[in-house]
Amino acid sequence: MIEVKKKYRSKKAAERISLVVIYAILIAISVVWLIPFFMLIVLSFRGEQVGMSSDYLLPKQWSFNNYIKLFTQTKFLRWYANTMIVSVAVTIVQTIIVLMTSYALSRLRFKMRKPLMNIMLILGMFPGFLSMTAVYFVLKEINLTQNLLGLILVFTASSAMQYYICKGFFDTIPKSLDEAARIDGANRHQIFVKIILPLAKPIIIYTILTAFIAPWGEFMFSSFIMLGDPDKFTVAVGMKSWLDNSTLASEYFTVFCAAAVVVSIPITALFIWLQKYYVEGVTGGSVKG
Amino acid sequence: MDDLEYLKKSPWGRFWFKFAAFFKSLPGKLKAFFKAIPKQLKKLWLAFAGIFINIGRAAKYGDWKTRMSFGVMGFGLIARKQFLRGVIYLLFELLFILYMVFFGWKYLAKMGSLGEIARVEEWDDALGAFTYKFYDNSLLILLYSLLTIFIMVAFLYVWYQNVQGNLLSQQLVEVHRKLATAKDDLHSYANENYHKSLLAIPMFGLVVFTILPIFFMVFIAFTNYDKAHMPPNELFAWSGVDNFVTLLGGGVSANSKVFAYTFREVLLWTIVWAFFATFTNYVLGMVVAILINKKGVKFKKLWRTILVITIAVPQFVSLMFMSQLLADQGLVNNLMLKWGWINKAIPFLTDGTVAKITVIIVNMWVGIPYSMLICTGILMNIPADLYESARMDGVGPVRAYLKITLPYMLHVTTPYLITQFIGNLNNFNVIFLLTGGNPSSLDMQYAGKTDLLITWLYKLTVSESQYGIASVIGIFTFVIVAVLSLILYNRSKSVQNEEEFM
Amino acid sequence: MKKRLASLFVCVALAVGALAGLTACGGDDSIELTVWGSAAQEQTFMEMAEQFKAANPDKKYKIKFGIGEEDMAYSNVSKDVDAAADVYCYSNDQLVPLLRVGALARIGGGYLDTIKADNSEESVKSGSLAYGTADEKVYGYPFASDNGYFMFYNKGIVSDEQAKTLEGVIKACEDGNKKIGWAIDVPWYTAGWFFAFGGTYSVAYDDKYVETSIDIDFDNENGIKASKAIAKLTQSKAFAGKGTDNNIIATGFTTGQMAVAVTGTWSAQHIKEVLGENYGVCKLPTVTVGEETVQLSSFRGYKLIGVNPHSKNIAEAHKLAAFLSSENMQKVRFEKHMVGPTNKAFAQQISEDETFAALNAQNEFAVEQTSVPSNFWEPLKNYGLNIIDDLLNEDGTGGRIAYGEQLTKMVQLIKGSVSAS
Repeated sequence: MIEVKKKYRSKKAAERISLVVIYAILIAISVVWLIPFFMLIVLSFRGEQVGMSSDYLLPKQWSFNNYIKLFTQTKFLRWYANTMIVSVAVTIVQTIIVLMTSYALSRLRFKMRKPLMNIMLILGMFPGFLSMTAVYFVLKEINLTQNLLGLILVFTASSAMQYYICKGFFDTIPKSLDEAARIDGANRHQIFVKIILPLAKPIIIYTILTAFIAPWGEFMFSSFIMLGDPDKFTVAVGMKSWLDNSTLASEYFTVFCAAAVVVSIPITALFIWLQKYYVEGVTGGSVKG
Repeated sequence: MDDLEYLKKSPWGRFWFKFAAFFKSLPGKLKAFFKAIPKQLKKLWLAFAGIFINIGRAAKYGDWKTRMSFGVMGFGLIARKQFLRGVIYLLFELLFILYMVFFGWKYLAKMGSLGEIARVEEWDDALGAFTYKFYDNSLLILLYSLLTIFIMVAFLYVWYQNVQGNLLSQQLVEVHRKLATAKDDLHSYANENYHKSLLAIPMFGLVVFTILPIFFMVFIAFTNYDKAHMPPNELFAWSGVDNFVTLLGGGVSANSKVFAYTFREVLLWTIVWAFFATFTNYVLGMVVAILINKKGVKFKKLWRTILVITIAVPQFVSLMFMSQLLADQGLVNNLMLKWGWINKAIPFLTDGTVAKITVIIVNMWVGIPYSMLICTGILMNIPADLYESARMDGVGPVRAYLKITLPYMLHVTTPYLITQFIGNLNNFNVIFLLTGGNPSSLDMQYAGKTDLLITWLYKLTVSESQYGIASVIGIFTFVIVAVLSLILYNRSKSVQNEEEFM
Repeated sequence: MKKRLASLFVCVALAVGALAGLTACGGDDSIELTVWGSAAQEQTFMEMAEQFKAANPDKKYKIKFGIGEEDMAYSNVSKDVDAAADVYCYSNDQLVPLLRVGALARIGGGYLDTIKADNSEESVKSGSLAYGTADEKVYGYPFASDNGYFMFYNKGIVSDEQAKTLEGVIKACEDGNKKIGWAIDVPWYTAGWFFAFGGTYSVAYDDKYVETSIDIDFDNENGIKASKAIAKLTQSKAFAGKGTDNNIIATGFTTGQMAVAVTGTWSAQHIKEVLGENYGVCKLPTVTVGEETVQLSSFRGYKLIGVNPHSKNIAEAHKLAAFLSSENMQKVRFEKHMVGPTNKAFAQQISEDETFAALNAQNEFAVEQTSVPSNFWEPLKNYGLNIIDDLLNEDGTGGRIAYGEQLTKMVQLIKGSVSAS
């Protein structure tokens, strides 16, 4: 009896040690992951105009000047609004398209289904920007270059190819639900809207999140389509233009940091808020045994 | 190896066995793939011939209404009071004719030559300036000819449907069956034809903005579209397989050897990069997930949230910031020099080997949170009683990990791994924003030591305007990636067992 | 789903509506012109545009500004010449590629006469490939003469005497534990070392601006001497390292870690502000290799305003370009951004300015930058990197590559672009 207790105790001690080690590792990881953001935030409060090649981190004078400059002397607000418009529109359209495509591929059976899935899979592997010139001139023909609508179109036109995870999620919803509804006389459209969609909350949120983020980080197409028109830039294109001119870069580096903070905060908040669904969506959809 | 031997192996052994077996079977698979082509072609031909037989039948058995619809689409349907269908067919035909007359034809006619005169310069005395008139633009001719061909194919398909539909209606009337009314038609689009209503818009976008541009780029590979032939100032022309020859080292120019060498180097690094980028992220992401999910660890949500922030901050921000941080004269080097940790700046991004390691490490910083999230979800799905019974049997945590966790994870996440691998082959952002492909070298042409195929392509097109040859590289990349991943996908369990859950 | 579908239809309807609106607009009679210039001068351009409107009250102008750096003109404009600005700034090394895509309208008549009368001959020449011949075609309104570089130094560290020789500069900085910012990994700066030792190059084009022949002799013994001279700098502990750009130079002077920098007038304002009394500026130093002492050379370039042949109002575009490059506007640019003028009269007025005196002094030893081989920059940059990384030496011993061998490779690459297209 005593022996058992001793063993139990030593086991407990071992567990405690392993916990300590785990905490140490987790803290180390957190530090590594947060340091760049910490630096970004600190640099954004740097009052003196000293850029990235300095040899100290903490500002010599803390100030809000970068933020003030950002909102009063640059087109940042405009770019922010542009990106927000594009993002919201892309989110709505893309979510609808992805849901429609995924439902069709998951639940409906038709002749071209398998080939269609394979084709979309293959298309996704084509280096996207090689087709940029062609896309640009298609847009130009319908007068949508240098235009936010054109950008929205480019972002959403091929959303169908992102069916994969969402379809995976739909696949996990038992088919017996559909059958029961069919017996009750529901048509396919009603099944989609009334049965499947209410069950798909995690994947809808996942789709919304991924769609919403894309325009904030995309650079290539946005800069091509908005060619030289700073009033139509998205934040990514605009902020890069500050660093492209290295004379300007010394003046704007700290402003860049401030802009980065402003861009990141709402998205981060959104992400933290919806994290749970994101995890459910991505694990429910991307993997199934 | 027989089944018994296989079962004796450790989970890792099994994994490697499967892994090796896959690559051993690859040549055979490829052979089978190409062998199947003639069979598929035959099938295609039969389907094709079937179309003509059907059209012939419609011409033979059709009454005058049906025959009229050969020329005036939807005529028979309207005559038989199926107005909705008929009018839609008719409208479609009218639109097609308008398109061809006012737009399509003038481009299609020039597709063979890709244009004759590009521009003319004239002195205008009244304006006091030279004026310019632009005529043929090879790029637009090619692009819109392809669009026109797409539309013509679509038209032929609809026309064929129209002929069939007219004949069907005629035959239904002959046997005194009721024809579908407009209401029935509309209903069917919420039911048996529901996939058509769902997929119409997504597929239209896909065809115009993805498939058409891809066809366009494939055709570009057979032209001499480069910096000396840039529309609208100059025309480009068909050049056969010249670009392919150049890339494979058979070109006449002094630089084509360097070019072929660059291609091999970049291809090799692309594959190395994709492998390491995928597996480091996956393995370490799983480790982090296991640590966080271990029983007894508190603040699980906090740890996860800290990592998730990297996903939420736009990648271009964090990557551009990192590239500034890690520059030779960037903050990190300056701080370390100041504190006396190093004597000389570490060339994080400017030495070939160091830069390759740096991008893989930074990519871990970017990617581990994703794989951590995914692994978290799956770890929660592993039935707890598996662990419970293992514990009863006196199995330690490490063995439990090797026996239960790892095989389960590998089994479940194969599709995810494949997607990641393909994504990394085409991972533009990390390389472009971090190193821009640098450091470059005198042995390579327009490419640096960390350039992936995709970033090299970017340089070749955007800054060097070598569109022809870039398209060839694009085609090569595409074929390699597509064949590999199609085989991988169709082998992976979740695709084969698609119906299992239903 | 009904709601969703409805919202989808609303989206589509909106798209169609917007489309219709777009194609229908353009009703008013004002003349729309777009200008692309450096992001750093956006404000100034807007002010100039107002002045242009005031100077031409008989017409209604709508002038928009877009960002397009002068040295990136080709990559910006060539994406879609048709959609590019009516009027845009470019540096003269971009002339040939821009001509190749037909992005520059030829200037003639009264405008050409004015340009020739007002501006220095070199600057007008930089917008033309065959200036002074029967086939002379001019493609730009020159507005800036400062696309060249010279040396800035901190008089508190480096004496005027020391600033005359590279050896003196290095010694002063090593003693003072300060850095020298000299971008050896930027080929524009590296080329000057080769010119100093007698390196030359030349390019010939056909009527479509495609290179027909390239001559370059950087791979002879003069090239080796230049390499040794570069190594003298890069092997010093005072050498700042790779990636020195305007941003790093600005920061370096602010923090006081940098005492010497080779850059152009665009850095002048900031350095002058920081150094105050210690502001020193002069032509590049001399360098001694073996027995031979030579004055370092550089590239000399101009910035011009080009008119897009696709412009819908080409005559108005010429008017605006001429206005933007006029004497008064060059004055504004000088006062706000220290941009050096090409206007002869105005250049005379400011010849006393120490910064421009230095630029002019260096220009005496500089090489005109108009027609550079298309594959010139990348190989030269990589050669510079090789020297910084200490991968080369004279005889190829000790695991290093001989200068001569690597130079041969470089020259082959530069020449190799001829038959490529």
